[in-house]
Amino acid sequence: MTPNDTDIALMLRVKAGDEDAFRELIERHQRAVISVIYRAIGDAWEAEDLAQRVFIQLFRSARRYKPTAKFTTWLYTITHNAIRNEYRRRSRHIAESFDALTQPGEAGEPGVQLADSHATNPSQIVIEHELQERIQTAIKLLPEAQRTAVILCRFEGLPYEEIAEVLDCSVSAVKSLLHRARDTLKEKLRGCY
Amino acid sequence: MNESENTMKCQNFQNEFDDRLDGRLDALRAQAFDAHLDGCAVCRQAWQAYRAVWEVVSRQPTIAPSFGFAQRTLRQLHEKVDRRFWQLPVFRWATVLSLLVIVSVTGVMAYRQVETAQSVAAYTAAHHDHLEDFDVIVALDSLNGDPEL
Repeated sequence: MTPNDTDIALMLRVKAGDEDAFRELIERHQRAVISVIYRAIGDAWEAEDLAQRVFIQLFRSARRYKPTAKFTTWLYTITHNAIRNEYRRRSRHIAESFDALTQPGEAGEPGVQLADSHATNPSQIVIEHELQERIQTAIKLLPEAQRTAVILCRFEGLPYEEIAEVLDCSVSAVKSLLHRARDTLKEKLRGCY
Repeated sequence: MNESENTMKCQNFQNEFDDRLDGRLDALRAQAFDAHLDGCAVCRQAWQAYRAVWEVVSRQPTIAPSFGFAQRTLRQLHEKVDRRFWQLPVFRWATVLSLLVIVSVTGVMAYRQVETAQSVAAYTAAHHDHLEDFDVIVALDSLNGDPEL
C-alpha cells in the first residue's frame, strides 16, 4: 500500500465520521502543513493556528471527498487557499502584519521547535538569525504563486505536476514561476551567497 | 564531443537549471548538462550562482509541530461542532432582524395611536359646545377608527 493509498483509505474513513482516522491523518501531515504555512507567513504560532483551520476545513469537506486525485494535492490546495485568504485578510487590516511578534504559548503548550541551526557560538547565532530573517522576508515578499511554487518545490520536494494541480496551472507555468522566483530571491539575498 | 554536447548551447543552458536541480533530466541530458559545465566557465559560474541562491534559501530552519497539536485540533473541532444553534451567526442575525421588525412595527402603531388621540383631543376641544350633534359624533368615531354608523 502506497502512502497515498493509506491517505485515501483514512480519508474515506473520515468521510464516514471516523475521528481516529482524522487524528491519524493530522499526525501524518501536520509537519508538512505547518511547515508550508510557516514558510509563507513566518510566524510559528500563527502557522499552527492556520494549520488547525486547514485540518478542520478538511474534516468539514470530507462528506464531499472523492479520491480522484492524490490526497496531498488536495491537502496542499486547501493549505494554499488558507494562506492566500490570510494574506488578503491581513491586507484589509493594515494594522496587522506578519512582522508582528506573537505571544508565547499558554501554560502547558510547549513552543514550536525550530531545528537545523548551523550556528554554534553566539556571534554565529546572531548572523544566522539575521540571515534567516532576510530569507523569510524575501520569501514572504514573493508574489503569491511564486511563493507557493518555491515552498512546495524547494522545501517540500513536490514534483512540478503536483504543484501545477495545486496552483491550477501548467507544468511549464510552474517552471516559469520558479525561474522568476529565483531571479527575485537572487536580488533580495545579494550578499548572502 | 558527442552529439548531445554539441546541441547544448549556452543560451539554452540556463533553461535546464531547474530540471537539473530537481533531477528531471534523463540520463543522456544530465550527462550533456554536466559535460557542458565542464567545458564552459561562464555557464559554470551561472550554475554555481543559481545553486548558491537555493542553498541559502534552503537554510531556513525546519519546524516541528508543538506537542499535542493533533489533540488540540480535535478539541477545537468539537468546540465548533458543539456550538448551540443560537450561537450560530445566522440565527443571531435572524434574531436581531426580527427584533428590529417588531420594534419598528410597535413604534409605528404607538405613533399612530398618539396621533389619533391628539386628533380626537383637538377636534373635541374645537367642538366642545356641539358634542351631542350627530355630525360631530360621526366625525369623532371616524377619528377613533370606529365604523361609520
